[in-house]
Amino acid sequence: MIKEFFRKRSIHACVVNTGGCNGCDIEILTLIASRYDIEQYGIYIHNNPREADLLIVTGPVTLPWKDRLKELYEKTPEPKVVIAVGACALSCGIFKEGHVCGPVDRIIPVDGVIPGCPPRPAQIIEAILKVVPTSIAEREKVIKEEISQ
Amino acid sequence: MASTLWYLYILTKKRFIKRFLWAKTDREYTIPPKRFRKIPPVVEYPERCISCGACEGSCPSSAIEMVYFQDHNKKLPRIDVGACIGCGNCVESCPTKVLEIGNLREETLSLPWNVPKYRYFVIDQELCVNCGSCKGVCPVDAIDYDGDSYRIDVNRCIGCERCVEACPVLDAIRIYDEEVLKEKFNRCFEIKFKRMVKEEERGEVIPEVPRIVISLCIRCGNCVDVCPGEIDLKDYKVVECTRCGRCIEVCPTGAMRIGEVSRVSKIKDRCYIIEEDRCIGCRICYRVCSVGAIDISWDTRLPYINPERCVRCGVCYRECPVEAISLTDTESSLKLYRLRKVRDYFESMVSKDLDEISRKYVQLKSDLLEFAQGKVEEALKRIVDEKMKKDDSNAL
Repeated sequence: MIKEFFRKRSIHACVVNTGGCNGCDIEILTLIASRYDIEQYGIYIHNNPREADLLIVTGPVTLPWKDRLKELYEKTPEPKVVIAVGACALSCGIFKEGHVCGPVDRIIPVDGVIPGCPPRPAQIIEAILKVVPTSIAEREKVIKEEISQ
Repeated sequence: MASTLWYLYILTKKRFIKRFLWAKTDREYTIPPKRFRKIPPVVEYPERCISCGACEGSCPSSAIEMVYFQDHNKKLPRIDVGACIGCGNCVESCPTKVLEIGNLREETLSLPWNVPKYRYFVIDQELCVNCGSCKGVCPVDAIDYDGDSYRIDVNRCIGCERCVEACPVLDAIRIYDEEVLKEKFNRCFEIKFKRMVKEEERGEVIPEVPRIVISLCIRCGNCVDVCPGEIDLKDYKVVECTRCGRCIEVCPTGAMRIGEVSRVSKIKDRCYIIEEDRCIGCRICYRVCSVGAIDISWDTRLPYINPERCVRCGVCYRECPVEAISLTDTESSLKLYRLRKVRDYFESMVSKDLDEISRKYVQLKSDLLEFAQGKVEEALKRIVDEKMKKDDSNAL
């Protein structure tokens, strides 16, 4: 129980840009800065998939990023949560007719989506705090039960 | 020392202390600013929608789809939240103000903008019959008549295709979209590149010097770029031509043209007919017909319609003061046309013959008269001479 309590309040995140226009990345950058400081909610942007609980994916999946994204997803340890940020990650946005593999959910399973081009930092924080802590705690529980069985 | 004193002086100032004490962070920084557009745009007034599809065409991320709604009994835009990028193109391009996003409309109401579009419409000047059907059906009044031809205002046009449906002549309203433009521009670059590396081989291809149809020309300049001679786009004239045919190849709207174009009607099975019992012979229809499909009969002195040339624009039908023109099937119209035509032919042949004969007769008569007069004068002279001689001999 104590672990669950702390697990909810210390999340490591990894930002992955799969070939977008960097608009969403700038918005995520403001999360780290003082105004929207995301670290005070216990989320630390680490940018290391091996230690991450949360993958924040921005941009449409381009052809060279297809296999990379799968690798990154496999590298992140369980339990893991994927959040797609921005219109490009949801449906390729303005890159729909370009040379792209498609939206993120066609490559890896996605848990939360944040529409917008780009979404406001407040929206991103709201979505992350709504989805991530509870789902991570629940998945942790499921994994624990599996192990005990 | 001096600087320390200066700092002390500044820090003990009343204004500084006041500011220091009153300093605070902005409480409402998470509230979006007034200009922030919250996606997606809302279908605010669905009853106003005319299902033109302008929003669908203008969307850069193809987030909008026109879907049939049962309760409104028409197609309405459905916006995919995930793909919308909040650019506001759909709101700007909507002619009847159905969509709404933030306060974009209030903000830009006073500013002129070019409606972002995917498809464009132009009227072919040479095929247009000036019937005005397009102007009548246009839901946004984008078509103007400037005295001798109809023009589509590109900024106001919404691409609903109603004018194309209403136009009686095939291909008189041409559509070109971004895809065609892209293809033609690529072709233009290809030709220019080949010319630069001197791989181009082309002799005379087209038989005559092409002309520029002014109403179709969008002044993209492709023809000027590829032309080895000279084209003057200011006066729409081809100054110098080598007849390579490149300009026709790269023109996106078909404004460079050679040869004659024929007007082909979309409607084949129905045609207008003039009922001769009602016609008063005012010949208004004969004057308004811009394709020359109405002729005046020799026999009856009444107009009749040639269904092969008629484009079924309905101008004569609208202009007729006694409603003598009606729509029937083409066969009966064609039958009347043939009858009138044949009669006309004979009539004109007979009259021509009569004319000739009468002319000849008059000529002959005058000739005879002249001849006779000469003879009479001569005879008189002779008689007078003889008489004079007789008188002379008597006197002697």
